[in-house]
Amino acid sequence: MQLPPRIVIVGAGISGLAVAYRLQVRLPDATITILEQADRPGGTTWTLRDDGFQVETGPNGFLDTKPTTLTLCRDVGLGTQLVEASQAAGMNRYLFLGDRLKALPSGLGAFLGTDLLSWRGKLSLLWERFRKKKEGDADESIDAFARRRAGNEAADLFADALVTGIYAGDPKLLSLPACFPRIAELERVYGSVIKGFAAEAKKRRAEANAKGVAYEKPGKMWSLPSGLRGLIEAIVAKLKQPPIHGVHVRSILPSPRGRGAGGEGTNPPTWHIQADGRAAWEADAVVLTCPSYQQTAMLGEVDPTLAQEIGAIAYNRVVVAALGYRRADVPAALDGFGYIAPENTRRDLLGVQWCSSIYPGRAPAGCVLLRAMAGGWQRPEIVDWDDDRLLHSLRAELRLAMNITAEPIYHRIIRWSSAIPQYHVGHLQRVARIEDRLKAWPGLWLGGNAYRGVALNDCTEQGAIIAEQVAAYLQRRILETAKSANFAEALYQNEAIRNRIHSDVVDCSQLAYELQCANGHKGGQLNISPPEGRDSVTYIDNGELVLGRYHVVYTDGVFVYDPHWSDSPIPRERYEAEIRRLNGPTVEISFVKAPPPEES
Amino acid sequence: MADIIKVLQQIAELDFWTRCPTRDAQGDDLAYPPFIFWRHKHPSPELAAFFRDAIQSFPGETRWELIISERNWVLLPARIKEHEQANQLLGGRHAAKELKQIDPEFGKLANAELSRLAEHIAKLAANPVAA
Repeated sequence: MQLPPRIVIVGAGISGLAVAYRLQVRLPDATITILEQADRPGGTTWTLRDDGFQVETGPNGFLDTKPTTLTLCRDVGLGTQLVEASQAAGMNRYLFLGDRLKALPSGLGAFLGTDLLSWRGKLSLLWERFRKKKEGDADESIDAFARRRAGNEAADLFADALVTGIYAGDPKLLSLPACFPRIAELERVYGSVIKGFAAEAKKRRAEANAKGVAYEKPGKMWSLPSGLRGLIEAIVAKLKQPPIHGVHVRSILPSPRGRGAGGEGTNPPTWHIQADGRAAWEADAVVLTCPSYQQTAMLGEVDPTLAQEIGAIAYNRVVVAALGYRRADVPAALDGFGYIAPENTRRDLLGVQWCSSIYPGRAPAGCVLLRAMAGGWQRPEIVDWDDDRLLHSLRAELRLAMNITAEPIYHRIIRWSSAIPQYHVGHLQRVARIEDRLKAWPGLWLGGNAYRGVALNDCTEQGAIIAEQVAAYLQRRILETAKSANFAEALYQNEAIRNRIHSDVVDCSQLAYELQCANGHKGGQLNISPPEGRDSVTYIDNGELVLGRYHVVYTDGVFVYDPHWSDSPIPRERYEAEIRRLNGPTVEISFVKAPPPEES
Repeated sequence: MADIIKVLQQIAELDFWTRCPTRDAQGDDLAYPPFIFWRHKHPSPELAAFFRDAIQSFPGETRWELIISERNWVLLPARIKEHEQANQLLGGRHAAKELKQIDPEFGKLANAELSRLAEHIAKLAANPVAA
């Protein structure tokens, strides 16, 4: 009988929870343990509720450009509660430039009429569709891409605004294919981003027509009445085993019960997860979804090269300040999503979201909730400002941008000293190297937002992908185990082998070698030697306790074949556990791939 | 009480050995007839002849058999092999198991006599004339 697979997920953010939930559906018998350092789940995705205000500490919602988060919401029973961002929020976004808010154009007419760009700048951007596409697959910064495709003026304005709004990073450092893979893909496929957007919209319209449904432009933002915390809590409520909080995982190591780097013939990899203190877990599969700098620390011992690669992924620092005002104290119309102050303007604020205009229920009646972001890659020092200095600065910025002079009636400040991973140029190559390195460590997965997208959708999408990979891996392992059992049954019936098994003069190492030969040299041998201070080991032969100078058995990696001990192969872990029970924990058990001929 | 493995080791260095019953492990069942298995580092025909002679000259109630293969040597009560052949069993292990069931006193006696056999062998090794 197979033991249920044990899976440990480190990190109870949205990535870890998505992996856990999907795995629970795919492998209902699996034991899934989620270890979380913090005292609550969700990571950066959480909603604070106080004084009638509802504040997102991290992302404010998720887009429907990818289906995974919407699907996850529906699967955990939140389908009827989904709240779409207001129409105004979808249409109206602003830039803070030259001490005032300027509307970002939302269509061609508005674009032609905007004063954000000169006519030369507008023509240069529209000329994008006629520019040659890039040759080769060399990485490119967002800034370089925007200049090449849309001209310097548009690059200065829009590339920075786009990067500030999503990554709070430096467009000269961030990689376009890593941060905006779809845009890179549009250029690659259609030769132009504008042409690509148009062609894809046309395709979607045609598909909608063919299905007889109304065409809906994608890109709507969604949340829940209870905020994104509602999603976190709904997933946790669906899990058979809730996350274990307050666990600081120190290291992830291959189990001492032995395996090499996962090569053929080694034990099916099991992992030892060591937390601070004595807490430890054993797992058949481990998924790390905590921030990459934590992953680095956990993997430093097992694979320093891998840890170094992961550790090179930089994070920015962000402070989120939620400010509640009486509606009457805010002169601005608040008819949109909010505004961005491009990082190159070097303002103290990166931008402000008008939360109560985006979703209902974010502020008490007669009040509004604004959420200001500051810091980022360019101004990390702001995160260290004390509350008074920060609030003073925020109020000055809001006075300038939105003519708010009143004091907020509510504020909450959330500091993220490692907020958003920065996918700098070379990031995808680094991820490829990390993934290549991981091939040496079957049973270990790395997830979270440090690798293939920082948005909530990216996390849930990656979570679903990882869950599928883990499930496939564990199912393949179960099949391999079954194959081993079938092999043993056939092997022990083979007359030549049977005679050797029952011979009085064939010793264990001879038998182990012959069984290994019969199985095509797959696997190797387990050498069981006395612990220090003893000259013999105890094992079982023909149902009796036997004392021997040492003992040698054949293992295919999954099972141990010790026909004098048992008619059927014994799962290696169990076999080793029994040997330790008979001889004490210090008995030496070592795996030998190919014994020298004289030993056999 | 002489330990057979220690005696064998004193006569010529052992590369490998097993013994059953273990005698020093919990749950040991002395009704299982002794089964001693070993390999010398430097086996020789003279060494084999010495053990044959020693075993044949042992005056105890249990008759012993020494099986010598190219690699490993086995010492066990002759009745195990007789029982195996008479009942067409697969190897001495099965025969020993059956004897444990059908005649537990035999195993107990053989195990008790194994120590005396060990003493006998040790004495011969120390003073061949004593044979």
